[in-house]
Amino acid sequence: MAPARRQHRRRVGTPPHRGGLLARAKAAIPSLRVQQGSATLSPVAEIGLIASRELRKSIRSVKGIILGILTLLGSLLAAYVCIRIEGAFRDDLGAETTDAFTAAQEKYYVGQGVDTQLAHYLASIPVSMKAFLAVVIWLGPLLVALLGFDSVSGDIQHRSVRFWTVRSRRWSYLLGKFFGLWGIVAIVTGTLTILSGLLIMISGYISVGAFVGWGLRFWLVSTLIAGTWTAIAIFVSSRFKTPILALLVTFAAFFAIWLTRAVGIVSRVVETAHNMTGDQANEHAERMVSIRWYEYLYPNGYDDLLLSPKPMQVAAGLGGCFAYMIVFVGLATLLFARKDV
Amino acid sequence: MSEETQEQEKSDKLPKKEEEKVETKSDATNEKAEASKTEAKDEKKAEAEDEKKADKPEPKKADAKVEEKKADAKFEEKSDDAPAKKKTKKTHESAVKINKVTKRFGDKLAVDELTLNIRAGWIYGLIGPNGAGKTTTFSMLAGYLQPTYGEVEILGFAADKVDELRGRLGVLPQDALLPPLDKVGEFLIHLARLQDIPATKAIGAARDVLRDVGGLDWWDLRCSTLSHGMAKRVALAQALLGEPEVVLLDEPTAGLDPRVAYEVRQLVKSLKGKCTIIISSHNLQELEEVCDAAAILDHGKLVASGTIGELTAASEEVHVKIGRAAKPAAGGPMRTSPGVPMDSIRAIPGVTRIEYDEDTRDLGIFFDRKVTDAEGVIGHALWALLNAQVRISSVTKGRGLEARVMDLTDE
Repeated sequence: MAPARRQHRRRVGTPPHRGGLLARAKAAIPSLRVQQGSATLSPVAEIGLIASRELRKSIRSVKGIILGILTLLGSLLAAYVCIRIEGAFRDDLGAETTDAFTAAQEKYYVGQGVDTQLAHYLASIPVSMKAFLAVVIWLGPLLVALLGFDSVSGDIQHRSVRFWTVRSRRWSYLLGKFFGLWGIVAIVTGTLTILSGLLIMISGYISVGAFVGWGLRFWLVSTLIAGTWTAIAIFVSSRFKTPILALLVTFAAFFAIWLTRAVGIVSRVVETAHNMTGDQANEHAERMVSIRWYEYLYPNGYDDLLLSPKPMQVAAGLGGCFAYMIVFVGLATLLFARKDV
Repeated sequence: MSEETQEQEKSDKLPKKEEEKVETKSDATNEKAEASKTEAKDEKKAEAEDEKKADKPEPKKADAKVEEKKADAKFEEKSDDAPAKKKTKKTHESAVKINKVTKRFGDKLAVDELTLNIRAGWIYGLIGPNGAGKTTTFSMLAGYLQPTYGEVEILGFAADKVDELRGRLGVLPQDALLPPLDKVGEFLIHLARLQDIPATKAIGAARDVLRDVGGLDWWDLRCSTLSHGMAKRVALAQALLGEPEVVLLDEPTAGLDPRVAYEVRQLVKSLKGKCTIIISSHNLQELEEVCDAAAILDHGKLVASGTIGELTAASEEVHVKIGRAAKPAAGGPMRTSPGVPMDSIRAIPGVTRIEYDEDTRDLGIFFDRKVTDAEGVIGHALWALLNAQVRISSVTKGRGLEARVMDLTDE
């Protein structure tokens, strides 16, 4: 046998003997497995198994249950407030029916210089549901941080991760954790969207069609944005072996990202105030100047892009969300692959 | 003959098989270094033979049959000595190779150029005091830690090649907590699924290993409700899922009550020959009982390795524990110690020296293994002692692993 072939045979763990001798050895020790290769589980199946376990774990954990109840109660309150807000708007515009309210809004947008098509689109968005979307998007990072801070760091701290690293590729493990956390957040935001939508529907502000159509869209938007926060949370969690430290750093990271938006808004307000002169004052006050580049670091600001009727803007929103996820999950994976666990 | 003697006899069949010795590169004693040279020669010989065989053209069918018969005869001859070692005998295959592995944690050197070659089918012990580098070595074998330098191979693959080793490597980590919210059954099924055991067979596989560790009743219990001993056994069960070819056990009986520890040892013994097992432990008696071979580490370096027989010098010395009520035999030969016929024992062929400690009543008989073997010495010594009406408590071959480790490692 050529040396290369022989080397290969040794690499795959085949003994140098063959034929009857090997068969005899196998027969002598029935449970002895002399394998040519090993079982190959597809990465997708591997990720699926880990993610589904993560989902199960979150749903049955005390932390998950408490967070679920609090989120539910809070969101019902938020839904009630949103309904009251729409009611107040309707009263202001003197619109009793939904059609009248939509028409009044459209007229308002056109009056603000928005083109007719866009004004029609904006007016069709249920105000209370849009307000509730803002609540859900705001709640997202909080939920992600509280549910995900110990996702990986907890396993590293208690070394449970060692049960997985001998059976799954490290990147599959991290992706499983990511999708598991993202999944549970998507379930929570989906439940909230459905409950609030039902409440708004019962209050008579939206039809069943609007509930399904806009509800689905809003849920997708909130889920995509939650995905960006999830990626950051998983990255942070994988870098620490003390969960509480991971929680603090996660909050600090989220706060730093929020600051980019806050600084941007303040900057725009200041610039607007400087530029305000005479008749232009109202116009500037309404629209301010264009947003700063660094404000795009704040994923919660992508909702306008994702809900835009313009495909390019939707694509930009999607690109932003996925870029966040790829960068942070990719970085976490690269570093975790070399990490001593 | 006492049970201890019988046990010793069983375990000491190993030293006769020179070709199975572990490749050793150590800074230990000269004696050890000589042994290493012999091993290295044997290893080279075996490899050269393998290569010769491999380079030869395929033999004709008739020739092949003759070859096969010869090989089978050899195999059976060897297997008379140790039936459980059939796989090792057959394949001469290394299950685990550690080649000049160094691991640093910052400035601290945890493992220093460690080289080991562990045969398939063996139960192999990693021995050493705290900080010797056992757990670090173990962790590198399991792929938890990356070596700073050097290579670690399990079944021919780097230890971190999860896909290639999936289901072939089982690991019991020492201090990993079971996920508290998982039920025992679902945890094991989940891990079985990750090992690519089909969903339909995963439940059966999980039940089998849980039964093996005596924990089938815990199937529906949450891991957080398990006692330390129960959790340890569940962790052991997950290491044995899917009948892996190599099993790494880090302190498998630490913290277990004696009965459970005994059961775990029996389970490990029952796996002898079915897979390669590497045990890292402080419990030297346990390792001496279950292991075929071991490596002794100290300060990150390998100080000795070999079969348990070699390590305990079972082929070079015999110890007889004299009973407390031993009385001098009337009219017997001259004695330098009450009751013990020293001259008669010294006269046994091959015996080079004898030592008798009156406090511990331990009679050490040292012999030249080229002239005689332990069994011969035991026979003659017992004959002499019984003739002198000396009461015998026990007979052991070698010094015991504990004494050997104490000699080789620092305080």
